[in-house]
Amino acid sequence: MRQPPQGLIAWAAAGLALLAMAAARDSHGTLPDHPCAACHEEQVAALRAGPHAAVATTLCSRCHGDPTRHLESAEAADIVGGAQLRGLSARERSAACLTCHSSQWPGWEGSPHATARVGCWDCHTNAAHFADASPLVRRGETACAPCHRPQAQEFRRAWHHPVPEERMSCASCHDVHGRDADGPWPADARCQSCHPEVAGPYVFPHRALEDGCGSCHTPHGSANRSLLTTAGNGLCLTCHVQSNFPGIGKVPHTFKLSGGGRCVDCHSEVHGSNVDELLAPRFRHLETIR
Amino acid sequence: MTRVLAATALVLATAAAAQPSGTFTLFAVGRSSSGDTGRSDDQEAFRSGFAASVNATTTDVEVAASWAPTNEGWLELRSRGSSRWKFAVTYDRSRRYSDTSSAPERLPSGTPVAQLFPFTNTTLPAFGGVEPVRTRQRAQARLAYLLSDGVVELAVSGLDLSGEQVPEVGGMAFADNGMPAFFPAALAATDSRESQVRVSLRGGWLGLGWTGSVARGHRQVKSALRLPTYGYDQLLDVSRYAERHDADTTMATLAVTLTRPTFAAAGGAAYARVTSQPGFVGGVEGAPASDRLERATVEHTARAVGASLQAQPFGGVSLRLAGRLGDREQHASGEETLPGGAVALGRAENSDLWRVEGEASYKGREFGARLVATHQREEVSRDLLRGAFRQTTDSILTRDTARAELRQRFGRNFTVRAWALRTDRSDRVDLQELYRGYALLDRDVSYREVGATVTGTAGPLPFTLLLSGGSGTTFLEPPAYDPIYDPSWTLTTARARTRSRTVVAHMSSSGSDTFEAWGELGWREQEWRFPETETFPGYRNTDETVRGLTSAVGVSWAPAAQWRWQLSGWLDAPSKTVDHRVLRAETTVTRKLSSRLSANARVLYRRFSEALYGLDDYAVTAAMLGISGRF
Repeated sequence: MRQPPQGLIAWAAAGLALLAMAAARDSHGTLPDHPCAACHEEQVAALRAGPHAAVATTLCSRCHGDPTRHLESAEAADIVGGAQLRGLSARERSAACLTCHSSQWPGWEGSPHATARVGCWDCHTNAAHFADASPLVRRGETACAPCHRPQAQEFRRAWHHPVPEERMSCASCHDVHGRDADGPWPADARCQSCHPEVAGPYVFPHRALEDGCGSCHTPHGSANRSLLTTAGNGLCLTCHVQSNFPGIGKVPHTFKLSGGGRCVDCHSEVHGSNVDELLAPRFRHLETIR
Repeated sequence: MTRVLAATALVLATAAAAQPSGTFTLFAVGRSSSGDTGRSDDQEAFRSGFAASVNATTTDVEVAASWAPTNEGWLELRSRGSSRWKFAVTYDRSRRYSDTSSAPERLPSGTPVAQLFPFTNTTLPAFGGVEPVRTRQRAQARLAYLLSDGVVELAVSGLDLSGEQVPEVGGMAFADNGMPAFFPAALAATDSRESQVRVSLRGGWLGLGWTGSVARGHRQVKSALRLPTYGYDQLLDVSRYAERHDADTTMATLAVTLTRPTFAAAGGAAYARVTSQPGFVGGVEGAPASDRLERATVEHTARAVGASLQAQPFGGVSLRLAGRLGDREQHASGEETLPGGAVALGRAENSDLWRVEGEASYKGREFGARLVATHQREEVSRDLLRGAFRQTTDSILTRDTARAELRQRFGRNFTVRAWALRTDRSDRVDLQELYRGYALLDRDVSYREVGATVTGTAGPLPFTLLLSGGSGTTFLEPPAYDPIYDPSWTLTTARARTRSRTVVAHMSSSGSDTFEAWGELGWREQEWRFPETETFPGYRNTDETVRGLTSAVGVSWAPAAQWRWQLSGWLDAPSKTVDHRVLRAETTVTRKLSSRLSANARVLYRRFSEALYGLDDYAVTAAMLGISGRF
């Protein structure tokens, strides 16, 4: 007997489960008791759906102040409203968040963002009362783009880290809450966490690595493959050019480079080699076929 | 995929009993692609099929999962609620395609590949069809305990990168000269695995903020480069050069901060150690290895301590002073066995570094200023050995940077921010010993940049205008090498220059729930001149220039309560040394069906065309139709 396709069954089960949950929610959907829910149902619902659900009952007063008079009078003047909150400084607004989150980010005070008067809300600006506490991503831009325009522009180049595709975020590399915006480790350690294949350590590393991956790569985006700074051999010549170029060291490279050959055709192990100090193990192949 | 979907359904069904809330999306995806056969990420970003994502939360747990027809997706399970124990388990799987289309019909010099000897620069004759897709799988489990004033966390993570195959093209155009040493297309394959256990601590105790972590990890990388050798019209053999890294890593950090209303101090220390047993095997496939690295070890140890003091002595003024001390030791040794005998390999490097940074700033409501300056000095001794080759150097490397920023507000509508940046780098190398080798010597690099942004509102429209320009110069003393190839060569200082200029205008609507739009238009130019001095006659210069247009747009419009239309996209079009167009456009229409359910239609278009060498020219279109909702 022919077996029904398992993928179809799984898809159907997933769809049915979702629809059942949506239907169940619609059938018994009023919110349980919350002092603010009677008038502010949407905000309270969002709060309960988000990461602050556990403290939803008491969270409102952290920003909006003591609600006692407002609950009696229902007058807007008796509560700290949105307009008043928006008029506060970044540090004043962040104070409410830091009453709980300061131990999570002990390096926040004095960090570059805090020093530049960036507050929690400037990035975690979800209008629906933190239904999603992650930084806002909308209209094809990250939360960082409004302040970091040159970097946002670099992500539109042909080769870029997949931030626009939302496969990673600025915070994947940058410690946005910390005292050191670039994190506690050297720049190349951050790169190696996703690119272990170039971490070595090599017997003969390329000395350019001493200044980090940024010696040759532009991290946000580039008009060149592999996020390289330049398209051609100029990248290598930044350190290796000499006055009788295309002589490099003792070897006249004229013959090799004049036809459009690239340095990496021979010196292919650009990050390092375990056996060849000139990073050119394939040069041995050339010796073989000569 | 079936297993993931079934697991998702099971989790959802279980969660349904707990009356969860959350969001979901279900989409049918259709994709078409045209153009060349290169397999870059863009072309393979979409596949026809079904995509789904779900996020369900109960009072105690949050489950999120996503899956796409490209066989990519993620699964997350996180604890919620008021328990002091928190856990999170995450898994994600993604795929990345290497670009195979760097095998042009012509070399950059214009030489047709068909005129080359041997006859091909594609991978087909030696390796057949190549599916150059790398699969990245990452998993992490975190368990945290909330203390009264902090968090202690245990994290176990793993990363697996497998299947990468990168065709490497030998573009050496010897055919014009009749040289027989053209490199045909090779194939590089890499597989990597990494695992790590980390314990970290954050919190406030004794009036101080503490952050610390200790991590142990293991990394294994296997890479192989396969190089074909062709005769006049047939494949003769394939050589294979394989490298291996087996590395154990240890890292530890500790940072302490003291924060007062007008004063902050921080101190920290970091330690990292990597020990590895690297390997190398080379030779013709099917024959005994002719090149082998044995008994090799590499050890790296790095230590650093640092401190900073920050004070706000009076209104708006802030002062900061920071310093760092560090050292690094690296030792490598091994023995390479070649047909002619064994060769000893060795490397010993030691470096001591110190760095000091000062910052003074004033921030007022109308005016602000900031000055940051750093000085770094590193002393490096290096000793390299490979058989007869020997190089011993002592170096002093200094880096100086200074950045000044000004901010002035004009009236209620305009703010001007200007900055100037200066960096200077100096390498002073004392060559102790050189035998059969090549050593870089002194170098001086300087770079200057100025820029300004004007932000404000033109009528009701907020705008930003960015202007920046920079230029740099590099002076390189002639390298040392032994033996001298041609005694008639008299080398002088070589000079290279770089220059960059950027103009970007960004304008947006004032923003509302019903309509929001922004647009950006920019121009950039970058130049590299290598070298400025004379080169040998007839040599094609390596100067590079990239200039061109960049633009982006975003619109969000709700013409009626139930409808929302969004559009976003960008165009990047650099020319000269590189010459290509990148166009992306995406539009989404959302129709609210009920308070909890929406129908969505999404169309994406991506076009890439590279004009200069005709390497890539493709378009990919994806359409998605589905529902999203809350429950």
